[in-house]
Amino acid sequence: MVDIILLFSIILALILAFLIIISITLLRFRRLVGACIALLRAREERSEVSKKLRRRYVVFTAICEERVRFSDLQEAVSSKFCELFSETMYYKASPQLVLFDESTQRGVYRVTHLYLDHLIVALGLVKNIKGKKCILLPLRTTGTLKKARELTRKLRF
Amino acid sequence: MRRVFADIHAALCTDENLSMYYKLGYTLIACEKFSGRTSEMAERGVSVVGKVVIDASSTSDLREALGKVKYRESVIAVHPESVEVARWAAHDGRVDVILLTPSNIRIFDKRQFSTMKYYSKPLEIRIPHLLYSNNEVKSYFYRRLNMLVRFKLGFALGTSASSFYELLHPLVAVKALKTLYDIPEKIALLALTDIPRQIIFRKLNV
Repeated sequence: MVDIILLFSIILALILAFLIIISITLLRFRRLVGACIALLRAREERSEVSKKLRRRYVVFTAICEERVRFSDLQEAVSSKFCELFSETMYYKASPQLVLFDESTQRGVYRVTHLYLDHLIVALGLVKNIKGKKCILLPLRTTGTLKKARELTRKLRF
Repeated sequence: MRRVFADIHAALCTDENLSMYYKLGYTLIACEKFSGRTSEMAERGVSVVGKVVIDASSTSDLREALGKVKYRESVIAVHPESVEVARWAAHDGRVDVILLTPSNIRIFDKRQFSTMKYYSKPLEIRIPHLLYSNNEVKSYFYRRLNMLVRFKLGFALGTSASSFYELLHPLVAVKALKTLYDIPEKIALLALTDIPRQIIFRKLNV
């Protein structure tokens, strides 16, 4: 009889120990899951922050057979951009010719930071404007218009 | 801008072209045709070497052509028109680069690239072919270029400019490869700097 009680108590103790171990591991697992969720949330938040669009200003110079006008240049660059990267990307990039000095043939293009490379390619691959041979050379990229204006005057080529 | 760029193929080198090359940051150029003396060109800050392109459809043609050229002084590019020539050119020490054009793009397969990698022979690609070909050719180039990157095989870019207005800013070339062909920027930069520089320097120091 004593043996049976002892055996029963041992089994009970083992079951209890097993339950305790399982509950501890479950708790730990829960903590682990919680930590993973928190990490994912943090990453999402970070990606939302990086999605914020920033402006970039590309200073460029035009070397052409004859002097080109503001509107002709804008048309040539936008058509080249559409030809290379499709119209959808053009809307997303929204490149704008902010200023163009027709006397020095220097200007500044504004574009969102995600499509900066695309604009540089489109600028560099323009070979003629209104039938005149022309090359556009990107000189520098800045984050503010003020600095870009300064660079159009200061930069040597 | 740092003057670190090199052009593996210029169709014509005039004074005007060379001064523009210098302004754009190029210092080493392999020219097919000159107009002027090379010493004058060196004074401008741009070192120029000769460039010979050999079109060959059979190995005998290639051997014959290689026997005639001064391979120690000028950059030798082979434009293979058959698989045998491409394989032969890959292991011939006199050949500096193998030219990839829309007409022979089908020759270049995994075997050719692995042979070229074994003998560390770089490929020459001309920028106008990449930018102004039709869509079918561009898709071929896309696959070949990405295969090149996977094989970790070097390639050099040539502008093949014959006039002032055909020149391309090196930054534009790098960004074009990045955006249009999904080539990593570092590899595209190597194709305009280190790889052509090594080839041209070898010829200058002779």
